[in-house]
Amino acid sequence: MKITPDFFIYLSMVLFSIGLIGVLVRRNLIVIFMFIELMLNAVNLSFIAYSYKLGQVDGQIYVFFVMVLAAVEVAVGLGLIMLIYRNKKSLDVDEINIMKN
Amino acid sequence: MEILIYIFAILSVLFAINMLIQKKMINVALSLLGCMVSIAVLFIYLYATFVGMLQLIVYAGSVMVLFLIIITLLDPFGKIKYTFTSRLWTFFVSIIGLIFGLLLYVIYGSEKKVEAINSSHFSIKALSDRLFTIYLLPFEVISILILVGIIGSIYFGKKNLTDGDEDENNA
Repeated sequence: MKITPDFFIYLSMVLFSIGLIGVLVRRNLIVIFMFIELMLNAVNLSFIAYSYKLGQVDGQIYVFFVMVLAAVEVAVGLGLIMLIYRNKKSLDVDEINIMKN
Repeated sequence: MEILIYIFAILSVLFAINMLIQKKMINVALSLLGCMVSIAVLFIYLYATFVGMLQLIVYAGSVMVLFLIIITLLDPFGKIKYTFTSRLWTFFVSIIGLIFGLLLYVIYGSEKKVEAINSSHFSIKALSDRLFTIYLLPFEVISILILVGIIGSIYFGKKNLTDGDEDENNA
């Protein structure tokens, strides 16, 4: 008896919501980045679940593209975080408000 | 077999909640690693063998190594303890509850019928057949994106890149 794909869609919904809470609530830049990765993973899970539900392989190809995108995003974003830390000596998003004034 | 999948599903949610409550960055990173590995198991259960292995190699391998390198570089002794936003906590949680309810409403109202599953639909051959015919253009475009990402991260990694007037002198 296979588990229904709806179970995985609900699971991805829960993971996405946890990731969104983390992005809004935590204040460390690197941790916010990790929660964005968690949200991307949740969306990937729902792509795979729908691909299984509809019996088509296209969802898996989209997941392939999303993974490449996430890898590029992490490479560039962590370079930016290094740069911010070198200039500001802090990772707290509340102190990185150079656009404010 | 199915009980194992339920265990991994519960584990992924527990790891994600653990990410929320841990204080040190390294603990958050290792929880994220556990969550990704659990999700990779679920992928393989859903006939996405190729994508599951890619998840293990790309996410649990290279992306997590990048995160760990940055953490050990910036904060080698785990000194940076950090907190949650003190204000607006209830506001954020209620907003997310609203989004959660909306997602639940949309998903619950969606089509319930499951297509007849044939595992040959999901073979590597079927996947590469579509990837290199219909999706050939996005495939090529995303390689350009990787190139742009490499150039950008090399530029950001330059030693003498600081803010303010010095930047113009270096440029």
